[in-house]
Amino acid sequence: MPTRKKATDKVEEPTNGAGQGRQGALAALREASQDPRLMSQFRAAEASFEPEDYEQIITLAWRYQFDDDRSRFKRELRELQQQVSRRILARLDLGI
Amino acid sequence: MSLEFESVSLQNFGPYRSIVDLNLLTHPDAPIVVIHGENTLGKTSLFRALRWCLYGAPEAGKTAAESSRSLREYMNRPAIADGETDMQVSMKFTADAQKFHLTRTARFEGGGAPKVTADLRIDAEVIQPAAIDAEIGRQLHPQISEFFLFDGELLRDFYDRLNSDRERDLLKQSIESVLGIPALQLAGRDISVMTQDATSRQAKAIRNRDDAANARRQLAVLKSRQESIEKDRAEVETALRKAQVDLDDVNEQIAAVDELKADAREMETLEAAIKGTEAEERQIREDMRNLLTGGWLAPASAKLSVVLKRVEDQNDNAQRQQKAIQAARERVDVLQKQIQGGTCPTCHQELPPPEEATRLALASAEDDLARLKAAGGAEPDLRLERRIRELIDTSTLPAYQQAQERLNKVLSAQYSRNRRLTSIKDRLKGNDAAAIRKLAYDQQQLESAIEEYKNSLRQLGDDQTKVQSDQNRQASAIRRLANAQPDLAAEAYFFEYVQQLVERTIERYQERTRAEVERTSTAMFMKLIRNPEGYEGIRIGRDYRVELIGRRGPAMKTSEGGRQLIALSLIGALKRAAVRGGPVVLDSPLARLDLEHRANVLQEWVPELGNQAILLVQSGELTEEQARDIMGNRIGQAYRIYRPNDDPEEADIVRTQ
Repeated sequence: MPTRKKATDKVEEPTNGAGQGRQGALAALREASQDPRLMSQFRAAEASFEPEDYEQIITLAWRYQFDDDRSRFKRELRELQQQVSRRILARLDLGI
Repeated sequence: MSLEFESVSLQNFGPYRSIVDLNLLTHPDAPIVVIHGENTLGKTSLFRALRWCLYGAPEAGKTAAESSRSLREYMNRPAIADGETDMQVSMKFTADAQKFHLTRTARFEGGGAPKVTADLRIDAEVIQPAAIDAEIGRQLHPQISEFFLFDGELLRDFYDRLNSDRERDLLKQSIESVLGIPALQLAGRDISVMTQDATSRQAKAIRNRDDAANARRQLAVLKSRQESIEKDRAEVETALRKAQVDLDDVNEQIAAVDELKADAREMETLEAAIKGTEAEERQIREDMRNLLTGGWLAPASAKLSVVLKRVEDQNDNAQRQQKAIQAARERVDVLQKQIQGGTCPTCHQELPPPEEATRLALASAEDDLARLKAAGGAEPDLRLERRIRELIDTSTLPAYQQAQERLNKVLSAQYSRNRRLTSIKDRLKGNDAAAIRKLAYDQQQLESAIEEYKNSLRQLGDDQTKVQSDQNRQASAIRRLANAQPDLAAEAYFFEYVQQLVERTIERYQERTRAEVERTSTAMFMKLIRNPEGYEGIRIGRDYRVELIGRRGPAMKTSEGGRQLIALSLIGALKRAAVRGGPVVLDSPLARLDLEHRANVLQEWVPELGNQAILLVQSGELTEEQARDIMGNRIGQAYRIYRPNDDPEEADIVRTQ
C-alpha cells in the first residue's frame, strides 16, 4: 500500500545505475553488448572491445547529435574503429 | 546538470521598458524564485521574453521565422511613441562551468518584419551567429522547452490531449527526444552507411578477378540471406509485439469480464425496455393524433362556452319572465274568482264577497300581467342551448393533456435509459454480448499465434547463426586471399557489430525510458494526490497511452483536478528524465488547483524538477504570504511586478525578498 511520503523525501533517482540521457544510453549499450545472440554473432569484436570503447560510442553520438554535418562524427568513430580493428586483428592473428 | 540561469535583462519587451539584470541566482537550499504579479501586469510577457531570448520565438510550438511578423506585438508601445526602435532581451547563465551571455535584439524600422540579431558569448569566446542555435540547443534543446518553460495553460487539456493518437505520438517523440534517442538513431544511420561502405570496399579490394567475383557473389548471397532474415525477423517481431499488445488487451477485458457481463445484461435489459417504451411512445402519439382528429372543435370550446353562457342566461331570463307572467296570471285568476265569489281554489273555503280593494288589486294585477306580457315574453330556446352544449368538447383537452404528460414521462425515462445505454456502450466499446463471448476465443488464438511467432523467431535465430557462421567463414576466406586486406575485413566486422549494438541499444533504451517515466510520474503523483492509498499509480503503455491505475485496476476515472495532477506528474517526470536538466520556469502552474494540492505541488513537485525553479504566480493562485508560509526559506528570491504609473502598457519589477 503506497503511503504518503514525508515532504522531505525526494522522488528516488534511478538506482539501477542507468540514469537517463547519456548515462542511460550507455547503460543500455552495455546491456545490449551482453546480449547472448549478439555475443555469439560477434564474438571476436565483443572480446576486443574495452569498456571505454562503448563509452566513446555514446560520447560521440551525444557530442554530435545536433550537427547537420556528420563528418566529424564519422571521422572520430573511424578513429575508434581503427584502434579496435587493430585489437581484432591481433586477436585473430593470435588465434584467440 | 549544472545549468543555471543567473539573470535576465529586458529592454522594451512587452510592458517592460528597462529591466537590468534581474537576479535569478539561487542557492541549493533556497532554489526557488517567486515572481508575483496580478493578471495583465506582465508575467506572461516575462515568460515569453525568456523563450524568445533562447529560441527566437516567444510562443511554444512556433519557429523563429513564424514568430518574426508577430514580434511587433511585443515591442513596448511607449518606447515606440518615444521613437525607439530596438527590443532586446539578454540572459546570463552558466552551464558546464562556462558562462553564457545570450542577447537577442529585434530592430523595428519601417512596417515590415523586424531585423532580428543574436549575440552569444561563452566565457570570452564570441560564437558565430550561425552556430548560436546549435550551442543553445546543446544546453536546452527547443524540443524539451515545454517541460522546463512550463505554461500553466498546458494543464487545461494536457491529459485529454493524450487520448488522441497524434498527441501520444508527439509525447513519445518528445520523451525520446528529451532523452536523446534521436542522437542514437542518427549515429545508427551513419554507422549503417559506414558498414556498407566498408563491406563493399572489402569486396572490391580483392585483386584476383575470379576470387573477387567469387567473394562478391558469396557476399551478395550472404547479404541477401541476411536481409531476408532481418526482414522476416522485423515482420515477425512486429506481428509478435502487436499480438502481445492485443493479448494484453484481451486479458484485461477478460479480467473485467464479470463487469462487462453485468454491463451486457443491463444493456440487453435497457435495449428491451427502450424498445417497449418506443411502442408505448408510438401508441401515445397515435392517441394524441386521434384526439386531435376527433376533437377538432375542442379549441373552440372556450368561445362556445361563452355563447352557451349567454344562451343559458337568456333562457334563464325567459324562464323567469314566464314564471312571473304565470304568477301574475294566477293572481289575476284568484282575484277574478274572489270577485266572482265561490270557494278558494287553494284552501277550498268560501270566499268573502268582493271588496273595492279586491277590485283595485285585480286591476293592478291585470296591469302587471299586461306589462309583463308587453315586456317580451320570449320563449326560452332550450333546443339551441342543448345544441351548443353538445358542441362543447370538455373531454379532449384534458385527455390530450394527460396523454402529453404520459408522453413526457415516457420520453424522460427513455432519455435516461438511452444515456445509461450510451455510457454502458462506451464502457463495453464494441464488446457486445457476442463480443464478450468471443474474448475467450481471441485469447486462445492470440496465445497460439504468439507461440508460433516465437517459434519463427527461434528458427530465424538459428538461420541467423548459420548465416553468421557462413559470414565468419567468408570473412576468414577473404582474409586468407592474397590482398584480401584484413584491415578492411576487420573494419567491416567492427561497423557491423557497432551497427547491431546501437540498434539493440535503442530498443532497450526506449523501454527503459518508458518504464522510468512511468515510475517517476507515479512517484510524483503519489506525493501530490490526496489519499494516495486509493491509487496504484500511472501506467504508460507501449503506445504511450497514459492511464490512472486504481485499486480496482486500470482506466480509473478521475476528476478535472486529478487529471491536472497526472499532467503535472507526467511533465515533472519528463523534466526529470530530460537530457539537459537545469532550471524550470513555471507560468501560473497552480491556477487550476485547490489550496491543498497547490501546497503539495509547491512542497513536493517543484523541488523535484531541478536545481532552480522560477515561479510566476498571481495572488489568486498564491499570495506572497501563502508563498512564504508554504515554501518558507526555500525561496531564494522574491519579486513583485507592478505598474509604476497606472499605465497598463508599462510595468516594472521590484525585489521583495
